[in-house]
Amino acid sequence: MKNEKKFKEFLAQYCDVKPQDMTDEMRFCEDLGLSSFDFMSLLGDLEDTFDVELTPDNIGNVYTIGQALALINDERQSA
Amino acid sequence: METLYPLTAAQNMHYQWIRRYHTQQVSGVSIVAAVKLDLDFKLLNKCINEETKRYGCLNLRFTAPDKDGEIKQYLKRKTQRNIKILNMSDMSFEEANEIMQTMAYETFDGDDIPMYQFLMVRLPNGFNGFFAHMDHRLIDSCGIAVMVKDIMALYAHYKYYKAYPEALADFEKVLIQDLEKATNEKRFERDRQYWENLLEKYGEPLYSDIQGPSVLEASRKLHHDQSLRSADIETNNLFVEVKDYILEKEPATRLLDYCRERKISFNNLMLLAMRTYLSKVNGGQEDITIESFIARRSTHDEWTSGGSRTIMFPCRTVISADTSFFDGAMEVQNTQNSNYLHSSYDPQLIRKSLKEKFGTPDGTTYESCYLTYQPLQVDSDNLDLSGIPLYFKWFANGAATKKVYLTITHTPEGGLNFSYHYQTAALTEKDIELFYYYMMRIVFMGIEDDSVPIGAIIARV
Repeated sequence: MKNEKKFKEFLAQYCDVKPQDMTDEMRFCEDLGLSSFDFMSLLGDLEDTFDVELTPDNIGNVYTIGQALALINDERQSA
Repeated sequence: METLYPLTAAQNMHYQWIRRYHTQQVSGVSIVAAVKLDLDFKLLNKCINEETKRYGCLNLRFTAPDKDGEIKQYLKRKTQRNIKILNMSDMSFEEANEIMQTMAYETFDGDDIPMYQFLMVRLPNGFNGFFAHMDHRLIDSCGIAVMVKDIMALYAHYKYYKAYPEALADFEKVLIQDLEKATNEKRFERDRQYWENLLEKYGEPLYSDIQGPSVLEASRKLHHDQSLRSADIETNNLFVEVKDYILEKEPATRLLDYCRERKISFNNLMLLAMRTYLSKVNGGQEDITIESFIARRSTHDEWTSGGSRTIMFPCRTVISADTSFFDGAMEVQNTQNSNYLHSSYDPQLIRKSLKEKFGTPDGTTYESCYLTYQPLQVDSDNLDLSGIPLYFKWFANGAATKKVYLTITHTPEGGLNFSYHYQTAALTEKDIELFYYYMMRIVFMGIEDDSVPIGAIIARV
């Protein structure tokens, strides 16, 4: 999937899971151990790194790596 | 010539307090970390010196203020030195703590000077370790926990051949990244819009005091303005007392279990308890603002680079009496999550905007209470010294810029420590006792049945 490698490397800065061990089903809080601050901070940095714009509406349903990747790809396509 | 950098927003927060209160004391932070072990002090000296190389933030210095009063920071490594040993082994812990508390009141006066000091200490009952006195612009409490752990790990490596601790992140690199982030125009504009929109949505905040509406009334009289919504800050008598309350393991576990089950962060649960008490003592006031500290550490580099990253943002919620406890907690959580997303912003700019929009008088504030929750613990289990009794203590700098500052930490026994720092100019221990008592009554009644409306909880407690 487009952006997958870059996103997983980016995500690895926030948790103890290596990019190669990450799966689409992994949840940010429960599986990767991110706190709510970590998650929101990650989203803020994600906007800069991937040049996308996130709103409360489009991030409200993002819980897993797969969902985040789909969102990045959608946002980049519509940009 | 060293590279000069501007202060980050978190550092500037401390610097502005120093400027306002005319003393560096408001930016002091001190700890003692000791283990019940006959330490090799020569080796400990070596480890502390090595730490000053590993942990770049310790080498920060500040320039003299320019014509506008602003300062810059730069890194300058100090050469190896012999650290003094202070022998307090023949005293009681109370006496030793008193001496260290006095040292915590000392100030780092002058420009272009090192802003930290280490002492090695022999404490009563066979405890030995070190006392560190620092400026908060170098390091925050998370940074201190990392530093203590690293010094102990270095000692364990040289003394007991344990693995050499992993390298800490490069402070200067992270500082540069932070400064770049703060000047990223797109991000700045997003953040600015968010905080401005909040003011547009809710209008001017309304002060709430743990002593009730009389405090705001007094400010209204003083400023001859019956519609004033901010109250005066104590600026003359900054002396602070500390009152600690321990919540034992069993009730603490109940709170933490509730948070886990309902997916509410503990910090947010405590914000709800605090704001509900403020609402109770202010005639059911629904619009409450509490200053909430954010550690701004998420990535590995941010966790281990040291520095002062903790910064406070106003957590403002408008919660009506008929809102259930759970919905109230979610309201706080949603507010905090949105604030987190925009926490790269400099909170000074929020205050500036408030002043421009609503004409907030100088020396007044909308908040009386501040909260920090520190999930990171310093205990022997995470110090490569499992099983060896540890003595770790924070010392207040003795000068509070805030009326009530609550810090919640975990105890080694599995309980929670509620540490209230309060200005004695206006508050007594009785005020703090009531605050803690009602916070606990509110939060335990709330988690018992979180469908109960906030107003009913206020009436019942």
